[in-house]
Amino acid sequence: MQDKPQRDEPTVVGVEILEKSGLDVKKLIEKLVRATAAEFTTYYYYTNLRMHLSGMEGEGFKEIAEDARLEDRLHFELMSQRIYELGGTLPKDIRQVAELSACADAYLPENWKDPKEILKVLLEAEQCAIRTWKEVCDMTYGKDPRTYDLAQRILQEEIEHEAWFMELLHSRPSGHFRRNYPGEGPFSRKSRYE
Amino acid sequence: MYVKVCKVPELKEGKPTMFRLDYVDAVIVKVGDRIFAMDAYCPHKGGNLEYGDVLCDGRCRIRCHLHYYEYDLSDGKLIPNIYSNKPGSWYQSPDLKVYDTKIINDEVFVNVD
Repeated sequence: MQDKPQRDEPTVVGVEILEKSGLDVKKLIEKLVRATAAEFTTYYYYTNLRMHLSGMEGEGFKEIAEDARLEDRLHFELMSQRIYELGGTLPKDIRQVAELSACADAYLPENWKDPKEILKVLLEAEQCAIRTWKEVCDMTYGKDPRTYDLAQRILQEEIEHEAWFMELLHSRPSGHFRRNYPGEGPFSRKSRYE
Repeated sequence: MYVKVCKVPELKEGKPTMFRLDYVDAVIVKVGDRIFAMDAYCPHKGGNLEYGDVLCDGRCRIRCHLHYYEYDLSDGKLIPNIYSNKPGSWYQSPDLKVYDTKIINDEVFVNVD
């Protein structure tokens, strides 16, 4: 009986099956790192944007920006684990996170005293996230059910966020947007006991 | 090395289509009687160019759907965009890698070297 070949790296069946199904795992990891980095930077920038939603009008938008902010943090946490399962890693240096991010920095606009200007930044960030997570869904559909499931959960919330900001900016009806509590993450929360 | 990709009639006019070629993901675009081939992912932030728009007004280019960066289809050169004046390296992008193509008997071949 022959000995099993010695390998430096253990076989990860959860990755091997993806490669056999034709998925470019390296490319997927690259895309997930960029998409996850965008969630993290968005969480950071939204913190600043939310602080500046002030005054009589801005105060009303603060709660909705807070929901989106907290849910984007959940998205970061939800998908980070998957990157490591696939054999990838987050950047060692936080400066690289902003550099790799799939979406542009959601900077505070110069005329931030007009809440609509802040809403425009929020909307643009959500729309970039939608495009990015849709790409992940398409890339993994029928090949990687786990990543697909996580990505579609994130995508669902990003689409809701876009609808909220569209309603506020353009009076486009979005349906009911209240969460049960701030940053509930109805699709992306890992545990309801958190 | 040229690899066979598809037949010309399989391509829709101006619609980027992705193919996996010898471990390279490439997007093929047909514009009139010309066939262009390029990396499937935008060199800026990795957007899938299959979702991009092809625009031809004298100069044919592909526009990435993520941040609207545009690249010349014939040589992959980045076309100055709305972000050109923004500071920071996040806004910088290398040119898009393009591949030579040829058509033989209505079949598309791409040089993946």
